Amino acid sequence: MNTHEYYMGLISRFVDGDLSAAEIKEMNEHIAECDECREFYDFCTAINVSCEDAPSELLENVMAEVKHETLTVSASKTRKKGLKFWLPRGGAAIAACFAVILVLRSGFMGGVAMDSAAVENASAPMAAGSSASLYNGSVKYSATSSTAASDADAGAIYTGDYRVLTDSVTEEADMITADSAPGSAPAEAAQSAAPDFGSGSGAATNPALKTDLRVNGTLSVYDDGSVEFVPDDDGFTTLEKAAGGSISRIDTEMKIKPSTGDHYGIFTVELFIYEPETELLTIYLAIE
Amino acid sequence: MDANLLAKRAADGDTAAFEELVRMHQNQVYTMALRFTGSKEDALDISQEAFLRVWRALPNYKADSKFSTWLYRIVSNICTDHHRKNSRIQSISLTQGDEADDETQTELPDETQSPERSFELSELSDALKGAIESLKPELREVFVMREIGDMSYSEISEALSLEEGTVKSRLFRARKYLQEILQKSGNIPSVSPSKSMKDGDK
Repeated sequence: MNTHEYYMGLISRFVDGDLSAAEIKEMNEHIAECDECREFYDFCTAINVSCEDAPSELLENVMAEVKHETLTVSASKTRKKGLKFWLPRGGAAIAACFAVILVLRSGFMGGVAMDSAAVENASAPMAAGSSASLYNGSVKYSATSSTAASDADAGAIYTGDYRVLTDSVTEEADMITADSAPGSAPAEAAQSAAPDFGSGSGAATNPALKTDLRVNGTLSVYDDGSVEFVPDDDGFTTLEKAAGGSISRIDTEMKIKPSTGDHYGIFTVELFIYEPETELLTIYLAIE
Repeated sequence: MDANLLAKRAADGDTAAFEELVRMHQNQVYTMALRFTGSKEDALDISQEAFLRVWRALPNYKADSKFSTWLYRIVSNICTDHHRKNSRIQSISLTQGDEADDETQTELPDETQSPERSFELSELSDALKGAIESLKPELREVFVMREIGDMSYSEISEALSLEEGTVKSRLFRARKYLQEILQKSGNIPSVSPSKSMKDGDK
């Protein structure tokens, strides 16, 4: 090591705060006489590598994946026999943290008073049944989702609570936003803050749905575009009670609407919880 | 709140604590990755991967070292892997006589900059960034950890499993190389003849 390298080594350590007082004195005496080392000193003390601002999607993407993984672990404990649905291509590409609002519409309708989409999708089961009930109400559901690129089998799993907040309310009034994690305290708080529509004027005929209905389950969206909703054991029982009989099928249609961003989508899921003899419970699940 | 305390909470599944950790460190991690790769897209990918690796490994995290040291070591590992992959791709391209050669060369600082300009490196940030990216990976990782991660010698030593003497030596070589390349490009003035250093060779 030549003289310059020795002192430049000191200078490099000086900017890192690694020199003793004696070494600093030695360095200063040298650079007072040596232009080359003085240049290096000027350079090292002037280096300022400022931090760049990370793009906002870094935090968003990381937290979406983190919450998804948290939910996936939870969901894997409750997965059982699946009920398969399908959504349009592109739906599985949604990787987002979102809130879900689930709306139940109610009203005894004898197989008539349904939204056109519901009628279209329910036509087959309706043909087999003699009557159906459609209930008004809202269910708040929040979840975090992300496409699981690294685990094709698991896919992206959404899970959370489904809870009927009320019945006999208008669709607009049902739209209560939530952004809390499934089953978390904020969701409970939002639930209590919801307007009390318990004595609403709807023509609901199924008493079970006049009270709060909480259905815990897992909504999974897979890379191949299929969607699966699996209520957990308690949730399944709750749904059967609400439907007034055994549930033979849960079906859905998922519609993707224009996104508010590349990774955010608004789509609607219609869950048809079908009891072939008498009941047809239609659940509109809007995710945004 | 202290990062190590947040890490403990996050290890217990507290996602809010983890989110705070990400907020606290995201700019450093992203900048480190950016200086390593020179690509915003790659830096974002690497940053995301680093935080997710941390999240997954948190249950095994032992708070006997600073959280940031652990985090930056993970960033460094991912960057190193990234560099290896890119080097392999570049090697294949060269073997095939691909014209991608020119595109894969690190952009050196702008040589049109006036040598007489002020010696304020803040004004030369682009040139400095380019120069950092042209450092050899083993020098770059140490330099980035020190200058961006504000890590001490001992923390860098721990993170990279190096002797502290090696850390000091690499930092000196990195700084010397950066000075020379910026002098050559005219981004900073030079009153003394500079010797060629090869530490920038990739």
